[in-house]
Amino acid sequence: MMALDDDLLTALRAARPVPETEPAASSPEARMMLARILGSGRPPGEPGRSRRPGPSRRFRRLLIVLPATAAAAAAVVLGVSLVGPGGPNAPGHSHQARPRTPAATPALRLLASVARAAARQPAPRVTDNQFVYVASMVADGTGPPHLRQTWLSVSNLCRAGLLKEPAHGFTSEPLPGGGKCPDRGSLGNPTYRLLESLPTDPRTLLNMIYAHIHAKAGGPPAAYQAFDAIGTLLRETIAPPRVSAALYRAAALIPGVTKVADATDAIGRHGVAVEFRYTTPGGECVFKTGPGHRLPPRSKIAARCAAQIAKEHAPPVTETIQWIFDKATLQMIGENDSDPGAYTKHYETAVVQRAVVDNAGDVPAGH
Amino acid sequence: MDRETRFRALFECAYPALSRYARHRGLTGADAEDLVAGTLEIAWRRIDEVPTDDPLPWLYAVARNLWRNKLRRDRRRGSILTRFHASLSPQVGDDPGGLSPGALRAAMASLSDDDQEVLRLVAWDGLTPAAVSQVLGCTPVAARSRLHRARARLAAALGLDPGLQRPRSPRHKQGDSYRSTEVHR
Repeated sequence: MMALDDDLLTALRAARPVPETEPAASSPEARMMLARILGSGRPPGEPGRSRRPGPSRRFRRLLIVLPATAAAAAAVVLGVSLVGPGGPNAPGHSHQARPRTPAATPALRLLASVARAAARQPAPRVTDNQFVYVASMVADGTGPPHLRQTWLSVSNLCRAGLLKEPAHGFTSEPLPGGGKCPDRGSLGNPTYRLLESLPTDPRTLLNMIYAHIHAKAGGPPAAYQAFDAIGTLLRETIAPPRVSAALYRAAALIPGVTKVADATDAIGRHGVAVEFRYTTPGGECVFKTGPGHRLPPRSKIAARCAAQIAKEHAPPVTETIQWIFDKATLQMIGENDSDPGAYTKHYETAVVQRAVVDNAGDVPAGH
Repeated sequence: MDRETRFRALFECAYPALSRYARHRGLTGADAEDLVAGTLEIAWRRIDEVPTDDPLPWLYAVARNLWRNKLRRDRRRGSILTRFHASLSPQVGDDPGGLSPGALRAAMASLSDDDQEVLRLVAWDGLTPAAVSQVLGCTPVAARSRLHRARARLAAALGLDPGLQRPRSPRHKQGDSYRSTEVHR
């Protein structure tokens, strides 16, 4: 424990949220948890015991029915696009998408093709009382890829949806809705009806997304957050074809998107991808001025800063979001999301099925 | 000491610490229990890797990754973040200009996630910068530097002079220091 050496941190400590009851390892909940963990399996290396529980029955079955089996995962060669200081990706940059004609980079050509393919999809027939069902395989570093299924009301989040992700203890978790009913959701949690209402002009749509996100000083740049927000609208959803197309065209207006020729999803399927990379600043340097301190000449500030940061700070960390598309159909098949950390490197998903069903919990025939 | 005995001893100290860690991140009830149980399950599976002298930074690193994964998964539902930020909102009667708990939490919520985390680890979870560096996977020097910058931004969010912790003068200019633009390597 450290002694807090200043008033501000001491005041902050006093402001910490305090549990209603002091947690004790002797409490009944704690003893039950201990028994559950000890009963769940043995640690590695214990003779005569399995390393960890094997994949669930459902997971094994899925491995058989999935059209693409896990091939040897090829190393994904990523095109680096460092986000520099200032410029369109910097925090605080205007959140409005300015009219411009983007250069036809490989990423923009790919997104244009993906948008055309999305626009050609047949529009699903939906009624307000149905549910959007999405099944995906998730690899989040906690074990082998596992199944995650969601059912979300087409029209109203106040109608309880359903989440099944047994690997994380969600065997039949209702997805709660918002406060005011009926609730079509928001850009952060959309229903089909909300997506249906979005503008199909890409620039108008992107401006709406920029207005929705709240870029914080010191946080990821607005462009990164906008790309992420579009991913939220595409993730575990079904959107009308013209809206899906507009979302991809809006993403193409975000500066800094690059193409990845070969990417692999959570279950080893290869595809072509677009990605957005965000490199956290290595740090910032402060030059004192005033008596006894002289500001370096402008021409030397950058070099001095670089040297100071190299000496004092950890290297920058790069976070990446990839959307992976099937090379033939250009349908989105998955998403890779790097999450640098000590134990979990990536959050990867592979979409297995999307469908509109009548009831939460219904699985389309054949699955 | 066999593994089970070791884990039982670890559990005694880790359960309350991890429960508080979860509460400090706005988790309550089943969400908090999930985080604690998930962290301890990983510790059980990897009991040979858990440091014997000071296991808490190792456990916090695991908990931090599980928490971030949970936020990522729940982003689709928006529930946790909404609840978390609601719990950090100023309370009625708080003095927004002073160092009241409500004002401090609101100022915290205005910072980036990284800044919030380093401040939480030090001020709320009671870690030293060296232990913070283990949780964040960086050097102790970098951890100290991140803490320094996060603290300065917290002070700025509260309208305090970062160095002196006094209310910033309306005439405050950049006479004390020259802050360059951030430099990326």
